[in-house]
Amino acid sequence: MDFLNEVEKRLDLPRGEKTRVMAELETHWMEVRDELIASGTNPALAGQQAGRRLGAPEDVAARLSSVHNSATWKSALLAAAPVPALLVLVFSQPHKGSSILSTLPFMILFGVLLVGSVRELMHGRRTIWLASWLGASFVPARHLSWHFYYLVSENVAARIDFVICVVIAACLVAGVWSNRKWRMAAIALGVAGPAFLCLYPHHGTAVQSAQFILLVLGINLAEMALVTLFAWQIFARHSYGNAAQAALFAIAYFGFGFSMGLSIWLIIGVTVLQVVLVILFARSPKLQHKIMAGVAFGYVYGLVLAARALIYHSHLNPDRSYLALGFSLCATAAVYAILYALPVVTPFAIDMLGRRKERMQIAE
Amino acid sequence: MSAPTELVKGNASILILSCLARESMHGYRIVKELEQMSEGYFTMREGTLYPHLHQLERDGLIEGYWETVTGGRERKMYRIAESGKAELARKREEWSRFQANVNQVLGLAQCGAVA
Repeated sequence: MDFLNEVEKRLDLPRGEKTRVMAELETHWMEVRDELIASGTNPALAGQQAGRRLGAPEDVAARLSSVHNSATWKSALLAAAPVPALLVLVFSQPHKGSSILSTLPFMILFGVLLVGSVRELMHGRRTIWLASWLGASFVPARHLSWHFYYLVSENVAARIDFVICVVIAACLVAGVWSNRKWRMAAIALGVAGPAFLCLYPHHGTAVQSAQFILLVLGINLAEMALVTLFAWQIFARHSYGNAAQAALFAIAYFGFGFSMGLSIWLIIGVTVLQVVLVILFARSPKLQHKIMAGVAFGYVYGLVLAARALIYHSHLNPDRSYLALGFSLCATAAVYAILYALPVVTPFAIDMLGRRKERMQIAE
Repeated sequence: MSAPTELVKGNASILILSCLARESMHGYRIVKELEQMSEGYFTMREGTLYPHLHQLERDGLIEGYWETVTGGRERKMYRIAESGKAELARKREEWSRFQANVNQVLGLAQCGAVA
């Protein structure tokens, strides 16, 4: 068993995937050992010989980690493909934000992505590009909700976040969740936050207040929790999926989602950043590098959005000092960085906690 | 005499695909088949077979599935996919051409040395 223990220690893979790889190696090791015992070898010696025949544990673990963590160039490029597609669609929209009809090409393309992704999911496939495609195909719900909000906000106290959370909560309730406890948590998150926002009085000046900012932050966190839970359930808990795919889903969803409403140059910048991130994320052979890429993405993205918000506010308050502006930039970037890195890092954190729990159970 | 490790590594995918083209097999069986068919020439560190198998699976050239064997033990079996069959045909063709050219060059080199 020394060989198997050494490989397990060195195998840098998410939990579910690691279990499957180890089960396969263990079966091989046991078959060789049983054959040696049948041919008259001492059982203790047979175990050692079986391990030797399998090779050097560090070599086997390194090569398996690399194969599983690092997608091929084809898969990595396929995973990044929806990002520039979004850019083309943004350019091709003649009346940005004016009517639902202007977003039709956008909706059709991502509708096709959604149908294709669901088809793949139903066949039990969990490829790395599928996570990105599915995340991208969820964006229209968010995009459409903006238009829905503009249309109805004159008469109804509806908010974008309400629509988003209801859509996501509906997806979750629609049978994705098998565990009752998780299902109830998802419904509670999906309903409580937006409902609270709807009850909140809608005044023009409220946007400036700290109370309103906290409220929006709370709603964003609720949305992130829902999306992360969804990604975890669909990818990380599936027998052929893993935490890295769940994180890529979150990158696709939030990367696209938060690009909405930015100026065209910022969207180009964010698109390039996201293409690089998706390729890095998919190709990186180590989990640690994937997590670092996700955090870096959150930070740079946070800086971009913070700078944009700051430019906007400096027009409103031209008398603000550079020190105050710098402080605002850092604080806002930090908040955005946490917000965007959170859904990327969370699947890995849940996975790591699960592994730790398993190790503790084994030790007991 | 066994084949040089680098040569086996470089040609592992064609060897695995041709084994699986005959029937579905698990990892250990593939190793044994390769050894038997080559009369002991192709021996490999058995653990190093799995990175090749998993890569082929990720590329969609082979498909893996679990089956329960006697004693309730589970083992992963592999079968060749349609795209794997096409890839094998392409690799066979490539190999034949490569082999013919190497033979030709080696033949010429020998002639030159004799002259």
